[in-house]
Amino acid sequence: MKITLTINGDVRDFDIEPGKILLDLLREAGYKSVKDGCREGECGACNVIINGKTTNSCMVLAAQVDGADIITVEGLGNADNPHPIQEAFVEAGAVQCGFCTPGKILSTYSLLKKNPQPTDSEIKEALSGNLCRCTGYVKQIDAVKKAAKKMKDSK
Amino acid sequence: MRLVKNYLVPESIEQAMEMLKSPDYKIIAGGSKINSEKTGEYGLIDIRKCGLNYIKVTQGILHIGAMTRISELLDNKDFCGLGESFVNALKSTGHAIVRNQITIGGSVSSLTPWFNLATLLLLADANIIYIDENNSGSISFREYCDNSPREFIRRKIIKEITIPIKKYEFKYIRFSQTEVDYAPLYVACSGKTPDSLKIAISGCLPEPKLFDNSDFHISDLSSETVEKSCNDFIEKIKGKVISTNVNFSREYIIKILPRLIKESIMEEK
Amino acid sequence: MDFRLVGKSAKKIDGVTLACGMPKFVEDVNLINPLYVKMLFSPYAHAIIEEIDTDEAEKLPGVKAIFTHKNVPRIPHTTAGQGFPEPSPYDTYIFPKKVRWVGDRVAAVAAESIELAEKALSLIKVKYKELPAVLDAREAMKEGAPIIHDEADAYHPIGAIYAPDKNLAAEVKAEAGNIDDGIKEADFVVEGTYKAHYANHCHIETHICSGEIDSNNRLVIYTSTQVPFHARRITAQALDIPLKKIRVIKPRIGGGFGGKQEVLLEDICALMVLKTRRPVIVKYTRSEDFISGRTRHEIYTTMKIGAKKDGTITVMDMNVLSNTGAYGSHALTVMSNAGSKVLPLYPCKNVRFHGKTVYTNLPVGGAYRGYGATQAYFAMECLVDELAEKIGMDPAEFRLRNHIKLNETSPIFKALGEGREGNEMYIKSCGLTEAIKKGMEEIGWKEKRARKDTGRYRRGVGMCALMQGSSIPDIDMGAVFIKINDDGSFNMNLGATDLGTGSDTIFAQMAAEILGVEVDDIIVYSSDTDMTPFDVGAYASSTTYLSGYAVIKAAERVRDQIFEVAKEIWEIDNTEGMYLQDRKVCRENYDSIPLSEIACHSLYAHNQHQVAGVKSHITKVSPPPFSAHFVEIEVDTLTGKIKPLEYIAAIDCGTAINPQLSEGQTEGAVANGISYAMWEQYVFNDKGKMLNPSFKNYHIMRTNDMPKIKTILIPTYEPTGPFGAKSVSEISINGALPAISNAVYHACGIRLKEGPFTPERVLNLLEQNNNEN
Repeated sequence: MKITLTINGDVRDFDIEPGKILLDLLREAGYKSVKDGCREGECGACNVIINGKTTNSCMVLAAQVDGADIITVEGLGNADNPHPIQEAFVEAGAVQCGFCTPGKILSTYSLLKKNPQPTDSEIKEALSGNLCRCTGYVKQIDAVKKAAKKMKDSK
Repeated sequence: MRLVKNYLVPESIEQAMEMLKSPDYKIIAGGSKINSEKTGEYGLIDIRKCGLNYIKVTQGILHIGAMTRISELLDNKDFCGLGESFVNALKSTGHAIVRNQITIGGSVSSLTPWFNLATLLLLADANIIYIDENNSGSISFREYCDNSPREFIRRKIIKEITIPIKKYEFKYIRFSQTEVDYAPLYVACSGKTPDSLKIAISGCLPEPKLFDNSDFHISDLSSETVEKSCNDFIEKIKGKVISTNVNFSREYIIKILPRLIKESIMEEK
Repeated sequence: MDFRLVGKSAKKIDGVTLACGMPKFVEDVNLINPLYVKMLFSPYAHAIIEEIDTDEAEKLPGVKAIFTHKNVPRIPHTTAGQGFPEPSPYDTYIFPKKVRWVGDRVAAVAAESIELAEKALSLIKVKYKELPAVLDAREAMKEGAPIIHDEADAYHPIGAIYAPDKNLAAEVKAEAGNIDDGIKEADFVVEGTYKAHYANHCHIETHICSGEIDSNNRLVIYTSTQVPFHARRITAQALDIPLKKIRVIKPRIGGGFGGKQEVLLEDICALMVLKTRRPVIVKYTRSEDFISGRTRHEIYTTMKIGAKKDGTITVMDMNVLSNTGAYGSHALTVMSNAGSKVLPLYPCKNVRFHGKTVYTNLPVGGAYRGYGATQAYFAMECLVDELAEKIGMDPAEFRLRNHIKLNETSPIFKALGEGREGNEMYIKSCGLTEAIKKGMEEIGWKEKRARKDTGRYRRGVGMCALMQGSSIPDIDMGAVFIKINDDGSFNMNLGATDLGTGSDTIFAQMAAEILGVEVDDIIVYSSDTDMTPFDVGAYASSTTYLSGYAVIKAAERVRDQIFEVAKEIWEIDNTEGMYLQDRKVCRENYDSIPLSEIACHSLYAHNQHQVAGVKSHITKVSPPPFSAHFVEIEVDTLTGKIKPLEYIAAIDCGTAINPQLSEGQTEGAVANGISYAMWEQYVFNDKGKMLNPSFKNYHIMRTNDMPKIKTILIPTYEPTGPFGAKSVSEISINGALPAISNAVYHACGIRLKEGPFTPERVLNLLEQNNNEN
């Protein structure tokens, strides 16, 4: 079946099997930032933003989101011109192995859009779907606060 | 998930109902079941365009469309007005990402043991409006839980859940090891006098169940009386208690269930 | 000591590319038209494969290769990523003829898609003859226990004690002084057995390996590994192919924690690539990772500790029973580490260690951060608390009194190595006293210890002291190559493995420090067996202490060559007084020469040669980092649920080359330790099957489970370490089990001697305690 997805602003057409999972489609389409960590919606490594909401792409059929607007971390910034959230994560020491990082950054992006000055406990709640085994989360919480400040200062 | 032979997107619930008549077709809502199907090919009916995503108020009743996501409910003023217990129950559902996907209709139709709202829907006397091959119907959430719910919901589509609007003062307890795991036990209580007491239990029984004082025989709300009644009650029902989380044994759940029921009954002074 | 770049929190050199989601991991490597591999695992804990029929599966269109024990070489080897010859038994086969745990490998299929591979698996017919199984380590060596490795060809490569006919995978003894004397001298003796439980690494990227034949007709393997060089050698060994035909590359990996110090999937990948000549990807799903990957060894530690009434420890006697599961990977070394990294913390002349590792029909133990020390500290640090209580001394005071100090030694350093004798060592840097004192202050030790809560919710504080090691002396080696480029930048190629720890970054800092340039003037490339010199890999807390020294040596070699070129340019006859600064060579009264000019002169102008150096390093000692952990918890005595509130880790790692990364290692280890102590467990049924191979019901810490975590770096200077550094990555995972157990005792008088500290376990002990009183 044919579906259309707008990914990071690019309109893309796909011809898929009905059972195609969004995670696999995105990775095959070149968005390697979307990671496979568990395939059961628990770890958040596959997290993308669909129509403004963070979503586990491993738990969604591509067909379910036909016509949707999708954001992956490739759409936020690049290594020469990173998004303030990406910068904040690096500066705060919140990136160790980096496997959970794209999903975390998207959860942060989604949080700060809705709540530009979150408290620690709001940050913890917003990141509760993104598992990390490397950092113990401490510097990731710092990174979100740093990102909030960067985005506020740039206004 | 490669076993999907066909993917249909009806534009109305009636159209969806027609499609559901074909054997081997099932409804996909939030999609939490997509990884659990391993055998046999089947068709999926995606009801996202059937107009079931709404939250509205009519004559003191809150109507929640079946496709409404948990996160949307948390953002809704009228839902939050139902009281702290409702907000806490939804806030402790899964984690931040999965709350964007879980639908209320999906939760009610699958009735997993960790459906956080179940006890509150029982206490608030919620109703399920559904469509079946004849027409539309309504059943109280309590009656649904008490009468083979999985059989009942087969070949039906849930249209909406209705809850009478009030600021409910329920005591809601979700017991587990951590904030985000599959809790083995939920208890909720309403009522300030023995006769008006209602206690809902889910997670550790085969289906969510509502009890009242005819099950507990509480004569007064003193600590000793309530404790004894809860212990006696557990003796009666313990044969039905199950553990749905391998990290907790049945014996342990049987031990703490009366304590948590007592906690939910006793007013916090 | 103050350095220019070392000791500063430089940004990770791969940080921004990771944050921008660039394709850097094994699964991101683009393979042309790959085949996908799925594997069949045993449903039985112990069974003989009587028949295995792959005919129907092979006929399925799209299936390109199937392997079982019938068509692979049978060469006993170990999957443990250790130096050769490995101190682990050679008892593993690519596919065994009999399966030894639920999850053991039976067959592998390569097909055009995952679905086809799975379909093919379902068509493979296996006839098993089920055998009685050993599911409890304490039963493994009893008379009449089923023998798990009863085939004649398993053996031990270094001749260590190995008696598979008794299910004994390893045994180590060490003794100094006289235990009986020590007990006689003691006024108080405590004894107890503490059990540390099975756990999984849960690296968010599962085990994954891909491979292809390159245009030079060589096998190239991309693998998520901590040990690329061991992976190359062991793959060559297991398949009986020349090592020179294999190239192993480690791209970025999604966490390891020891789970990837293992050559787990490379053999299957290699087999498939060589048979089909197509690129191949083999990956474990999350549940396969739990069941068929590696785990933390379950260990029973029994200890007896005696002390005089003034608090001086007179005797320590440790017995370890380690459960290595179905195969002997890391069987000896994890068990001996339980003694070697733990007992020296309190130097005592009467000390004895006796460890045994047994086989069971359960998931295989491997390397897991902490590596035996985590398990044994549970016993020692809780018994030390028990002893302090008997004496009537504050637990912190007791440790301050007894812990090893500067210039002291322990007989265990020499007596217990890794499967052989160790290295004698005197402590040259120790910040433990300060760590304990700072931790006490930070958590409010004195006031909180004085609390005695009596209601439903009871708070308590507990602590522990820790040490680990830095590298394996005389055994492990790391090498580094550095060369200059036209513009005065440098390529640095090294074998050392960055698993997200940031080793590439700290090496760049070190090299840049010596070469007088900035961090981004060093282009780091690591972990490629063709392109980088040898390194054992990331384990034993070696990377900073061992490989870091090789960086220094290589950088100094390059610096000396740069001075020689400057000598030519300045037309002088010696290099005295030269130094590197701001990307230039400088000398008083001479105009500085930019490094770019040095480079161009040496590459193009005169006496052309490549300014470069390759240097290796082995260590002679393993200086321990030290740490003191303090935790406050709250127990709900109605349900037994424990809530961790605050956790302080004060750590002496010598010089922190990059303080932010050192903190990051500490925080990550602490979170893992707390999660392990509180919630993580393998639940088995009575047939040895793990029932919770999923994040759904194997719970690891999430953001909203966090207590307040604080790291305090205690700087010291280790004279044998690169820029004064010691290791930092492993030690802090060892603290939570004992510290939390001690805190719970303080809160409500029960001693948790087995993890995890589930509400059920706590409640049972509380009731037992109430009944006894």
